[in-house]
Amino acid sequence: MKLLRFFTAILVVCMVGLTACSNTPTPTATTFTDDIGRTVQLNGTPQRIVSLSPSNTEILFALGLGAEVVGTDDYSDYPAEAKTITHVGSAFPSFNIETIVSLKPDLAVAFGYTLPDYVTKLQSLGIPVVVLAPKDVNGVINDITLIGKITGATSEAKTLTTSMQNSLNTVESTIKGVTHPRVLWEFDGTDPGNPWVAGPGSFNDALITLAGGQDVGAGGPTSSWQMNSEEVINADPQIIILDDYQYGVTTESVQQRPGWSTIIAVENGAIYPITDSNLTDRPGPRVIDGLELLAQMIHPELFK
Amino acid sequence: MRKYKRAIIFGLAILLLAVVLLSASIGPVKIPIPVIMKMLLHNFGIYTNTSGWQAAQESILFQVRLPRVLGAVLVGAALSTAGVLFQGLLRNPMADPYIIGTASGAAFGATLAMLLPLSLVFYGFGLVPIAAFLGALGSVLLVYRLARFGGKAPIVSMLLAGFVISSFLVAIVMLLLTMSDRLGLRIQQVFSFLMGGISVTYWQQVVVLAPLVVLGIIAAMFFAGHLNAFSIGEEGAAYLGIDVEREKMIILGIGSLLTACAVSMGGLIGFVGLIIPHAMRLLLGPDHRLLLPASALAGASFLVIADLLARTLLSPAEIPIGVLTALIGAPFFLYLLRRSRREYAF
Repeated sequence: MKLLRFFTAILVVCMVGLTACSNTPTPTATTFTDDIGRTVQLNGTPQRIVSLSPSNTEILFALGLGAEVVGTDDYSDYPAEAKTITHVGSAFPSFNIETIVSLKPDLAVAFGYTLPDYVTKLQSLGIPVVVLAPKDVNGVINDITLIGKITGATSEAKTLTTSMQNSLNTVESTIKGVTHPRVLWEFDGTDPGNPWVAGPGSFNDALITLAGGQDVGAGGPTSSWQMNSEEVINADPQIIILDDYQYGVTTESVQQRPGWSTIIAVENGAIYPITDSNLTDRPGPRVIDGLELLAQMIHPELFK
Repeated sequence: MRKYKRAIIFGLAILLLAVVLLSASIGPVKIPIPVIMKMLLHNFGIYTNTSGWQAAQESILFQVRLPRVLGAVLVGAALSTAGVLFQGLLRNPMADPYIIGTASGAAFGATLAMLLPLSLVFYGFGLVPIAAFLGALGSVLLVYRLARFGGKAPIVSMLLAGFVISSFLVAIVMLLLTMSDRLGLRIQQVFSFLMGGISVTYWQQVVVLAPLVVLGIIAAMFFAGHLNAFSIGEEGAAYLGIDVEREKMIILGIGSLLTACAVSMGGLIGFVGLIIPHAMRLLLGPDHRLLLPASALAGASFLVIADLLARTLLSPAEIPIGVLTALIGAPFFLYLLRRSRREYAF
């Protein structure tokens, strides 16, 4: 009985202590909410930043923070200066936590695809992590504003987002009122019987809508799914976007697929390869260029 | 007895025909079976009236759906026949068409082909099916060479060599997957291949592979009697006057060729080649003269149904066919196993 009372006393002391601690933040601390609703607490402006995705690296460099970036994921290749920074692994297959820690970062910028385990691990090692998970172009603009706030690059962020917002507005006003043609976004059609296409909730689906199109893959079950060739013929897309050009799929090879000759896009020759998929598939500052490119493909008469 | 066997084979053939027609009629565009019959007759020049269907139905049926359905027929027949051959030859109930390295060889070939940023199509064949075909045959050849010693290839050595070569090739495939993006490898495409899925999109694929599969099955039937002899052991077979090593090599060759044809059309579809031969053995007994044709026909019907479900259940999306073969096949087989009064004769 004595023992029990002793433990209870310890427990009470601990709890009081914990509550007290959490109620008294460090004076200079600032808090932010990231894209997945986490609260991120920072002590001062980050000086050593690790980027865990190519799009995040592009955002940081676009805000003039290249000098503060001490580590990037393996695929960060833009701008060219980013290639020389220490690599810390990648979302697939894995990040090297030891390398990240050895860089002594005071901020890690993760991405929606970063496994939650890494976020928890880095956070527990005392490295604040902010997760960016934009769903569309507006999401990217908000993320740039957020990173600007966190890093103190607010004016750079303002300039960049204003210009992006202007371009976005221009696209939106240009397509206003026009009919939205059916667009098929093909991720990988090297097996032409069942091409992988962009589905609901994908960044590409959102991009198609913004560019004045209607995603025929929107009826699928996941953000990237295999659409039966018959279903494609049945959906009769008016425009086909080849995001698998890098895998060797060409306009000619699509034209020769059995049964596809009746598809409007094939009849009209409206099959467009994406030669630099980093513009459309990376939710970074250059996504505006990707959007304009896509809008030109979908509405060639409106965008010269 | 003979009459009874003939009736079974005939019944299974009718079943296959029915299943093929059913599968050809269902899809995003429905085509009633009578219309299919008319279109077929018209195509052969027997029926001249072209009213009663739309051009879109015709192009979907002939250019997209039929090649795929027939692809499923070929893959199912090839895998089931190969399964009977391997189980009979190796006297191993766990043997399936993939047991001596074909699956990992095919996966290795396919993955390598996917590394190339090319999408060439030679006469209806993409790089991946060709590489899968060659990989499957290559790995079996390697396993056989490794297991063969002093003119003999003992079954244990073959199983072990097959296991080791498989593990080695799987490790390489995993390594390639790990380095995935850096090499421009398409993880989704690899996934589809490993899970299996009928990827017959061109008639040429059917035209080239159908004769190979049919000849393979006919060749296998010539060895039906000898496979019965193998069931009493290699020594017993030798006493019956069979040139064991030579026959073993030929039967392995036929089985591997059939499997290679199947993987080049459908990736790694599991379960069919293992369970259809067992189901037929439970229903019809262990005589290979009946077992081989019955398994080929039943396997073909089974895979046509699995493929139909794969493309319609979650329509417009596809389900990997390997998921369905196990999902439908496992309960069905357990039912047979529990119900069967017949003592299981292997």
